[in-house]
Amino acid sequence: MFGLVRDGAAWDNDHAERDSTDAWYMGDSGGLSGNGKSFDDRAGRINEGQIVSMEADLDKGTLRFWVDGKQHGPGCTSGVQGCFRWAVSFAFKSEAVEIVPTPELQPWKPTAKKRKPTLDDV
Amino acid sequence: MDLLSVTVQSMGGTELEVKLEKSKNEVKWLKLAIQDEQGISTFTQQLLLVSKKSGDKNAAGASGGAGAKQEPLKDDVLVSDSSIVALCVDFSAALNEWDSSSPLISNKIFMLSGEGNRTGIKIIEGDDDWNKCLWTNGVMESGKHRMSSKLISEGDGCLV
Repeated sequence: MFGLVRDGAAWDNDHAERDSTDAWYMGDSGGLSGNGKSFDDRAGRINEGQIVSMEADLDKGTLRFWVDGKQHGPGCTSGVQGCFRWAVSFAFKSEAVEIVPTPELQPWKPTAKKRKPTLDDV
Repeated sequence: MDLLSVTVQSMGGTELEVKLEKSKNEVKWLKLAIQDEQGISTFTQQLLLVSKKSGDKNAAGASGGAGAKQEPLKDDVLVSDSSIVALCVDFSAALNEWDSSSPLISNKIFMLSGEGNRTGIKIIEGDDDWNKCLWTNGVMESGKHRMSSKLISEGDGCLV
């Protein structure tokens, strides 16, 4: 899991829970977790060797993700405000991540909101 | 051994002449040389082209040069003899190091390695849950921030 965690949050808690308000994460499957989400909005798997880039705009309250410089999912569009640190959370032995320079990032395009299903879709 | 010379200007106004082997004339080698000479991590260096040797169409700045759009040179760009580059140090990049004071390290749940503790590895067995959070040194409160990390290994488990 890659993301942001609030400064002062517990180091030994699972902040990827839907009811957690301490972190905004993207999992290896590209799903978003924390703050009302639990592996939601899956944008596609993140594989070994790929670079996950994140951009937090703490004035606008947003968090965006790219994989190998390409936009990955809708990101978090509001509420990302406070004091944060970049964070990872790994479940399994030997998982490893290296902080690297940020590559050139594709310009961000807002993702179209999913249309709510209607009776015509049934 | 054929050498080429590159002048590196700092934002403080000092100049450094760096010699590179002609076979190692990419920006990444220039950054390593600056790191060796000045102790400035390659990770925090941003090099901008000031001027290039005229007539060299294959080297850095062949499509740029003075007055061109100024973006940091990429690591695989070739530099030419007698080029001049400006060195900016990105201190925000230095803040992006994993926190070596974390209990995850002292409790041997994670270990850190690499230059500037930039690689974090989970080393404990039998703890297959996302309840261990490794974070960076720098605290962010306002403004826009970026961070990138490479997934070196997916470890022994399944993905979610």
